Amino acid sequence: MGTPDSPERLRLARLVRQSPGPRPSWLQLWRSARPSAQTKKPGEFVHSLDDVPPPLLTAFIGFQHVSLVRIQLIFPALVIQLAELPTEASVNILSFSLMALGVAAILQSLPRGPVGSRYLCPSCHDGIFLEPAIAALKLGGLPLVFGMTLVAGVIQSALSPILHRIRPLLPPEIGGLVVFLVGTSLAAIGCRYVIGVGVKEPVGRDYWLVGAVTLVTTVGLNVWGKGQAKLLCAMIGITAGYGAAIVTGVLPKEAWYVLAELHLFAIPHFDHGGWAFSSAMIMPFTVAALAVTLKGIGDITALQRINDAGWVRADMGSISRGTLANGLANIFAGLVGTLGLTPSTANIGLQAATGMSSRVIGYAVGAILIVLAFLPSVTGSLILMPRPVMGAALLFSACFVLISGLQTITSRMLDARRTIVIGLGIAGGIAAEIIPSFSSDIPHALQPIVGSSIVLGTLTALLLNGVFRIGQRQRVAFVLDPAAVDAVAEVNEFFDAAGRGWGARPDVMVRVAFAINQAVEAIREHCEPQGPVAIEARFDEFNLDVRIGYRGAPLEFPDERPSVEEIIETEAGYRRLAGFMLRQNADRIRTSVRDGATVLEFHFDH
Amino acid sequence: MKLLEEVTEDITIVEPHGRLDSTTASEFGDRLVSLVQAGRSSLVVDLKNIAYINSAGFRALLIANRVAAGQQGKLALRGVIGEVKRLFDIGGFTDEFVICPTQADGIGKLRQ
Repeated sequence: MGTPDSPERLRLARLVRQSPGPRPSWLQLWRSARPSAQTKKPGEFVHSLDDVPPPLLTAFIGFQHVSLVRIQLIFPALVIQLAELPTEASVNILSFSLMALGVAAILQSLPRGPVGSRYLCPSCHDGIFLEPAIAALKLGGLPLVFGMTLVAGVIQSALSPILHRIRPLLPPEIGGLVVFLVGTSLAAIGCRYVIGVGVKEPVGRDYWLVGAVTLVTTVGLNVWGKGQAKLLCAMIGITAGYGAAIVTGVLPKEAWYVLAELHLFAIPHFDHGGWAFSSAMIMPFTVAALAVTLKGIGDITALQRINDAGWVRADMGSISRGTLANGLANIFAGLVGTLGLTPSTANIGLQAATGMSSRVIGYAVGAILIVLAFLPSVTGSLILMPRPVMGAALLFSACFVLISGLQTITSRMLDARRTIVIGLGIAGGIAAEIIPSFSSDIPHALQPIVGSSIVLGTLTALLLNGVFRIGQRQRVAFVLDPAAVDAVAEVNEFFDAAGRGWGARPDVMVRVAFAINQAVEAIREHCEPQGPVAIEARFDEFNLDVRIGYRGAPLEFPDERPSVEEIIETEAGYRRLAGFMLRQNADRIRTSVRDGATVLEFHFDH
Repeated sequence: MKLLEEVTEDITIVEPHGRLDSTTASEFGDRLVSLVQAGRSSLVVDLKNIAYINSAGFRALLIANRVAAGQQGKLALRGVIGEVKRLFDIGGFTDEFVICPTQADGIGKLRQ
């Protein structure tokens, strides 16, 4: 690789390094923080971000979003069942869940100010907070669950303004790992509930049948269903599970009598017994806050993509404000007494499916959820959800969470370091799940860390990632002799290794490889280079910049392709074709001549 | 670069392997032109095993396409997939060639 440094090589390398590069200015970045002012409306959207749909349509779409959000009330319902509260207190917690979800939907939709992603971004309960909440419930009851949810909200809010700085410590593949571990945790709880491990009620043929009816209905509608049936398959499956539970007696008729005591309208009351805090629970809830933040980054980025046909990069302003909105919603959830929230991925899918992404729908979703919080009889049935129905719903949800996590992990190039980070993270998570006894031998204070698959797996990965970042360069440089026969092959190997070390997206590295290959060959053929060619690449999570410096004639980057006749018959046409392809391949390109050296600069959005 | 050739009645199928860059394009282009000049002017070029093609490779294909047309022949491409497809798109070459999804389709197009 390369040859010993000569003064000429060092001069060239210095020139390449000093070149400012075709990066966006701070002004461009600031402008990109205003989504609606800059975004390009996708053609298939009926009502985009700033549109105001007719009231009836807004209400109809709002109810669709609420239907999806409501399914996820299964998570607080599960914790409530474990807490064995009286009916009224249980329904009260669900009412506060609905209120917190409503507040979150409105905060995310706010069109200006420091809070909110500024997208239609309803929130939901999901599995991330489930495991820490169950651990907190066992340790200190519901007050500890609520207190630590509040702490998680504070942590998330504190992280929001520094997200762009700590991104290198939270790379996307670790985000994928966290999602994968949440999936394994959901699958484990789901399996236990479907099989009937550790449940109080008698388990037999009827119990398993109820789980099977729920799972088969949900899966069947998801795979073969169409339209609303497919969209609401989980809710229909749960309803079928309730039906099977009533018919088989798994859910006795007497259980419904408690619902008769519930009022049609009632104001939720704050009598949940206060808040408690425990240092032992700090780590699980910190990891949950990190996991929710990582998931939120992915969700808000997805919203930016589907709302802007010209999307090229993540808008960190919107992501930070969205994270703050989620953090504040979690503080609210902890204060009123319910579990933590996260942006709802399913609702983002619904936006894409309906072509309706107006922020006004976000306000409607918030209003509907808050109104539902005052109608306890509507939500009451959730607290009676039979265990096998819950288990089947969790198993179904786990399928998508697991695969989503795996897809995020494999969307990046992974070198040995990153492979070990993810591999040991998964191993740690699985160990906590399948060998729970090993946590009993360690000090009491560490048991919440070692006993949780999500916490142990995530912490393992975060620590290893921190250690492996030592000595890892975000800037790589290479000097080559353009006339050498194997020059291009060497460069390819070098940048493939760099891409794996950075955890870059493979599709972007393919474009970078073409740029370097085509540029080096064009320089060799058309620019009469004198001496070596210096190549430098710099990477951060959003930008990949390549600079190529040499002494020789500059390459031309035309906007239009030369004609077939020009390419075949003239040397100029052939040369301009190389420049045209390089221009088309990069997101931005620039050439400059300084002190007799030419520097080609290629920018790739990442 | 490895170059496989198969003759089926009036059609010659050429299958290059590896990279079509400034080092290999002239050898590849010369072979296509010599086939056409030898009377085998109906060619299917199968690019499924090409990992990389640059301006030199495209020029070689354009020259072969023109020479074949001059001999009342035709050149059809198949295996334009993945990264090669992307490079055809960014170079604006998709409309310059007869591109077929399968080899049989390519042979059919040449016999029309």
